[in-house]
Amino acid sequence: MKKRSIARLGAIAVAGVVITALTACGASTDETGGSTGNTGGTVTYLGVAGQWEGTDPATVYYGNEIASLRRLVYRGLTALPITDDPNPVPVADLATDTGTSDDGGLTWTFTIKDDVKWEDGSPITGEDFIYGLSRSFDETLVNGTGVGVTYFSSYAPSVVDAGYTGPFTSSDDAKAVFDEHFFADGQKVTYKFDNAWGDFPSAAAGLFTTDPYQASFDDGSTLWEINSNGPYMMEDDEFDGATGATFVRNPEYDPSTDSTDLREALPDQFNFEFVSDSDVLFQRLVADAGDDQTAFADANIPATFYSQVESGAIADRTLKSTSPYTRFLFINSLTVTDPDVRRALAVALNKDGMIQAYGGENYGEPSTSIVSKAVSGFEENPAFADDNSAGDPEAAKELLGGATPEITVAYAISPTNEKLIPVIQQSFEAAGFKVTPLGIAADAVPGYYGQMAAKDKNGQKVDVFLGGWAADWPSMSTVVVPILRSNPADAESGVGFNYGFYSNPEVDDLIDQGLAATDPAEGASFFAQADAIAGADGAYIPVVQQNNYFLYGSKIGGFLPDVASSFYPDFGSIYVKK
Amino acid sequence: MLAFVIRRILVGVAMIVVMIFVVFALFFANGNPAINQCGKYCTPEKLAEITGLLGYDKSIPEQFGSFTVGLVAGRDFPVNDEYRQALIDNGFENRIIHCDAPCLGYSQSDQKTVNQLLVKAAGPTLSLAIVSFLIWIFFGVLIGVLAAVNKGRWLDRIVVGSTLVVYALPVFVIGTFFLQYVAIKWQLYPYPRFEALKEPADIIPWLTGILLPALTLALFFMAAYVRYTRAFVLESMSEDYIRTARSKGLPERTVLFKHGLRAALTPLVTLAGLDFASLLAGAIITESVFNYQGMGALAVKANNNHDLPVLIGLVIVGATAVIVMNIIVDILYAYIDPRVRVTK
Amino acid sequence: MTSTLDVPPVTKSPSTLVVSRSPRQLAWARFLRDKKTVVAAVIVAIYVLLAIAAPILVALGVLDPYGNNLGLIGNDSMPLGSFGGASWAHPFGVEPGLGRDTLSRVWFGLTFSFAIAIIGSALAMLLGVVFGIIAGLTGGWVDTLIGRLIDLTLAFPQTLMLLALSSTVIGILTSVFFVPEGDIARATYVIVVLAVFGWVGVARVIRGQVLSIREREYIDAAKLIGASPMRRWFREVLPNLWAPILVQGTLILPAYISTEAALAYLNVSVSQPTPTLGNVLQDAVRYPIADFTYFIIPILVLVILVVAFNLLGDGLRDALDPKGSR
Repeated sequence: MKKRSIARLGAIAVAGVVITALTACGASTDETGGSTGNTGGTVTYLGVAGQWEGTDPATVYYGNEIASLRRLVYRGLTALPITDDPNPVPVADLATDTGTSDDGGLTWTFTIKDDVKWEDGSPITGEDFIYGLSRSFDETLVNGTGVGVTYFSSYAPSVVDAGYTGPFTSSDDAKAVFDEHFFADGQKVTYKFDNAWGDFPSAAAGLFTTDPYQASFDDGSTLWEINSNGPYMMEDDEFDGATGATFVRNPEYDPSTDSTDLREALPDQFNFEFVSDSDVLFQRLVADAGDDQTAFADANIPATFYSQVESGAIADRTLKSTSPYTRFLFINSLTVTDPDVRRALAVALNKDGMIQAYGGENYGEPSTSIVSKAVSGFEENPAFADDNSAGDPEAAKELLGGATPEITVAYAISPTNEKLIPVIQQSFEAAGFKVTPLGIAADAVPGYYGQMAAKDKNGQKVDVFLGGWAADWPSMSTVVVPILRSNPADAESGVGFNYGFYSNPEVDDLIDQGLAATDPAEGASFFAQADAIAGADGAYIPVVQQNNYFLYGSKIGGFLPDVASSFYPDFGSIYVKK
Repeated sequence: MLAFVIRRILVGVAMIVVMIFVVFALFFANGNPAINQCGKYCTPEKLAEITGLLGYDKSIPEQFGSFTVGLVAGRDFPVNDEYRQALIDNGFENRIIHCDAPCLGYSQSDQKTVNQLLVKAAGPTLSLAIVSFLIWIFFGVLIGVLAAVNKGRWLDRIVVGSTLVVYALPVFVIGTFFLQYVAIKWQLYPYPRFEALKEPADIIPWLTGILLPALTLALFFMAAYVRYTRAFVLESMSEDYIRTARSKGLPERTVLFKHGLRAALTPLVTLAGLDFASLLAGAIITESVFNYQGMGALAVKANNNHDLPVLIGLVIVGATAVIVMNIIVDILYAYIDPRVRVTK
Repeated sequence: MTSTLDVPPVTKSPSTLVVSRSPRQLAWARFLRDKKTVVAAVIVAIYVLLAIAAPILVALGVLDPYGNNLGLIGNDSMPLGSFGGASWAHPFGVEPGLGRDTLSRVWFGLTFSFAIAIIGSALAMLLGVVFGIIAGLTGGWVDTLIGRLIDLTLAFPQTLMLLALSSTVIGILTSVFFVPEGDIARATYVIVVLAVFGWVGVARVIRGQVLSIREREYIDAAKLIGASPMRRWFREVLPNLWAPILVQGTLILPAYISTEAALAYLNVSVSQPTPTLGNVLQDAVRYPIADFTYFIIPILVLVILVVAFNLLGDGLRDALDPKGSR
């Protein structure tokens, strides 16, 4: 299961997004605490040690990390504002506007503001943006995701095909191709794509790929360093992935070059503090003692704490909202080929029981799609809309016609999954299946997803396996495309997240149409159709639509999970209540 | 004496070399280590690239050779010569990491030299070891002596009883209790965070931050040392020469401290030295409970990431600490107890 | 085991034990006089019986360490009812998460922990006694060599090595030595670790004992030249060693049970769902506040066992040693 969201794989950000309501439970959060009365204080951000893998913008890809850094230290060309509006539109950040394109999205130009500076006082130039972009093509930067490559391979394939691998290792020819497409002239930056990218400004807002990087800063090891151009700067030399860092006000930051729609920057200091595990983290938030009164976390409250936070004064410090996460079961299309069997599996599954194992109604509700309700264009997948969430073994038996197929269910070994497997097993067996559970150890190499990604499932028989996904970019494309687009014929492992190796030309066609659509609603409807077909085809079995369930300290104000922060609490609005 | 010391040192060095061999060999027995540096979207092509970048495609003896050279003369990273040349050609020479001798290696996943990582981890580990050691030695010996002197009476019984119980409690239980109950729930003590000791003004925050984990570690050894001290003191007190001293009319205090305790000190010193040395390799469990980034935490991380250079560095440091301590203790022992010198 | 596991060594006292040549009856009488030791012995005996009984009870279905009782668990993964969900059916409550019976798991876990500890200590004792005797008897370069071996073993940063080597060695165990994968392989690894690092302390003590015996028997040494010395020495020396062997064995067992718990915390020991005291405790330690019953029960079981064993060992040592005034 993907606990952390991965940024915007192959995504198109559609400018207008439709999201079903965020339900705030209990707390009255004053999201624009703009009055100066709320300035000052120190806010502690609590996290679990070892989750951050670097702060070099070319390597950051977890949704919550992008969100916090975007508000504190890394400004971009554009950014999404702080708002509970479900359809936020990007606004200009370091650029003077959200970019202009005269040719329908093939070429974009931005002008960088004149008075924006790095934390050492030097001005941010157009060249910095080009250099920053070039770095994101280097996949050998530690844990480099090569996000630049992933995206730009769709929109500027000639650069990738020329073999451009970043500024350190590319051949002169490849560099020439890169320079033709992306260049700067003083404060003017130009991006020339091969294919029209209609909402490039939104992508620039949500990723660090197009962020500037000061060439002189790129010295020695930069993995844990931060060169700030935002309201805060890191006090330490380095960010420590195990213990955290301290952020104080950046004297070179000029608020007049920014907008309080993006960054209210009310606290004087942010302490990132990491603890050994989530139990300790939530014990502290529950205890709400001393400095912890001005602490918050973006982790979900673990089920074991539900009884402690559900009632009383502490419930006022909780916030429940629809999460972009869903969990589902992959069906291995290569081994389970009979559509009736696939349908039988979906019909038999006891989703209610699984949700209870996950944590009950606080955790989430039965879902009818791999797409989360929080995503633009969400529609209930008709293939699953009428299914009994408690499972219907009789109907499943009918579909099987008395057969008793042998099914292996794989899962990553964890306390939660140990609870799930008996439920899954019982519901399938009630329909006549013979079930063999296959647990993958937490420390296995390759890990659970590594094994499931492989076409041959690491040499094991696997028919059904647990999965989860988050559309932290509110667009159906970020879910449907990675999970349902068929893998290349020669792929030995799943591209994107299509580990089930589902392949349907009709679905692929609809996906292509969706990607090409310029109108967001139109695109969403193509994706919904693709999902409907895949669902009916038995590509997956949806299980649960997750909730976010947050807890924060009693003196925290402005706690707002919004679209800009991928539904994590927005660092731009947080302040200390007096 | 000198010959003895030199011999011990040589043997020690030989042992370290053997250990490095063992770690090297076993490390590669576990498949291509590059897979752990490959990242989330690892493709066979990317894996091959990283393997070359890190020099894992060279033969093991060759890698071992480069490592030894680095130990003596320093090394540049990344390891791959062509890659480094490409960096220089492209004008990015400042991205090359120069690691001065003795270069223990370079951690690709942390982008730091092993030496840097060890130095950073040394702070918490040394702090834990020293404070913990002082606590357990002081209280362990004190309480042990008190118990021995009051043998059979209620003080002795309480001490013996409680040390048995404390000794039986696993460290992670004690640590969890301190963290979750004492610090968080009951708020009897501020949440323990490691504060580095860079200048004298830092002493109070440093001590406050280190006390709970040091106590966790110390309680355990304290119980053992109370037992040892009590046993040694009782034993030496029953020796004939003590009876002689008493019959000479010496005050009990003199008998106890001048004769009884001193005899007990020798084995205690030996044990204390060795136990302290073993702590220098990092107290993995304690560090993990309190999220202290010492050598123990570094070891766990290096193990999970299959980070060979860091593992080797930790083995060297840990083993060296113990071996050096062994030699020191042997010398001390030989010095204090002349009989040992003769039989050796 | 030395201290890198935050577990103190069993005993490093080089030579404080002087074996008496009192007849066994005297020792037995001394043993019985000490009430504490008798009680401890009884407790240990009870634990041993429990450990033996557990597999039988599991086979008979009286104990159920593997069955999930999801109905006894609320939506928040915690047991319903107070005291960790205690009831007549589940006297110690049920585990959070899966609702397994705590009593069954702790009880059956005792068996596995005992099994691992006993085999480990038997191996460690065997190695330690053999090497100790050889070192003590032969002296010279053999003694030095064994001494170096001891130093080498002790110089290893143990926790680091056993963490780093766990997957490799388990791999070797399964492929080269055909140890069955899974629990048995992991248990074997733990046993190997215990034995490899544990024989050292035993060897030192035994060596010290042998040396002291040798000093006293030096006159007999003259007689023995001619007859196969090694054999006669073993026959002469071993019977005099039974006391320290017994004491050592009694003292390292509880240390090994504690060590297994520490190894379980580091995820090196046998993994779920097979219970050992260690891995039950590893899970229980996550709920010190949320489920205090589940937290405290394995701790109590472990502490009482270890304390009793140590008391027993101390008592044995006292009984067999007339001089030490403990």
